[in-house]
Amino acid sequence: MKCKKRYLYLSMLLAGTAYGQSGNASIFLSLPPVALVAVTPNVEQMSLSFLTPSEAGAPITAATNTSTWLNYSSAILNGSRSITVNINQPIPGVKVTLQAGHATLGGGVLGTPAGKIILSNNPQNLVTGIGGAYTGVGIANGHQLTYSLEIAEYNLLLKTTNQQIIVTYTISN
Amino acid sequence: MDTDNSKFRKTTILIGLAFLALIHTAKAQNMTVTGGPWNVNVNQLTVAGSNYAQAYEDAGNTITHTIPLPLITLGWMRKIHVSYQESNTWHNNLKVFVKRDASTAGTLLCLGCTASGGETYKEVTANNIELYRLAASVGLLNFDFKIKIQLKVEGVSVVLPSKNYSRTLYFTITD
Repeated sequence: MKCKKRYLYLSMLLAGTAYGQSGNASIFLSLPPVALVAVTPNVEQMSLSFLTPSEAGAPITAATNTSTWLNYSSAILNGSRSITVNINQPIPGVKVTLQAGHATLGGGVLGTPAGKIILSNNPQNLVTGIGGAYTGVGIANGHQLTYSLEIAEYNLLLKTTNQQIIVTYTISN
Repeated sequence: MDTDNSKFRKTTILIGLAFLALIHTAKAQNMTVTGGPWNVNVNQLTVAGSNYAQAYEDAGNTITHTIPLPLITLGWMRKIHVSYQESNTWHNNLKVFVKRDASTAGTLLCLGCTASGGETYKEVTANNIELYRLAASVGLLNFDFKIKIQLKVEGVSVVLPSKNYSRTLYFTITD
């Protein structure tokens, strides 16, 4: 009887000690900062031409182009980024304006368009408040860009051949 | 005299059984996790507007569980659980999944040695979840189960703060 009790005690003791041990394994993942911006489609040139007035006394009609889109990817630890834009040279008597539409596709904290701006040598905010975000790639993704060519001052206009200006987009913190 | 011999015999048997039981218990509840860490190789972005691939899997040979069977096995069964500990080194959008490589189980040296469950990905949470089970009907030789574990992370995105993340998974063996 005593012996049976000992077996019983022993069983209870072993049952008490027989519980799980564990091991572990680690996962490391690194997400670097990312700041990429592009205008799509990747056209090297686009043309904007004033329309000749058909009637004496009528103004020169502004020209617009809405065929390009602004795409970006942004990964950031904290804070936000902006996209600025500038041109290499202004055209006397003519203003080149640019407006970014609202981005609807993609994900994350997409930027807010700054409204219509007159392009100049000085970089100006085009889109602000970009957090960790991506717009999607290609046309119809990101912010649609509307370029306009308008007369600023008629008295400064010069008859000339094509004038080329370079538009530079920069994404930065 | 007979009584003394009987007591001695019983005591000897008792000690012997206790010794065997202790060996059995110690071996049966032991699990070793080797391999790792898994460094998730996130693809580098080169195209503006794009996002990271949202899911990444390891090759399936990073982590191995080694679970020894007792020397004498009869109706042995164990469960392996997995969980993680909450920490600020991870992001809640990143989900971790674990599965067992179905090709790693059993042996000719052990009758009815099987691994079951865990062949499809299970999401790891802060609460222990059962990943898979091991069972053995009869075994007379020392034998280690070696189970390969495959890991997957979902939810990778540029939307997450750019920094280093780490998470530790805990594997536990129980009756």
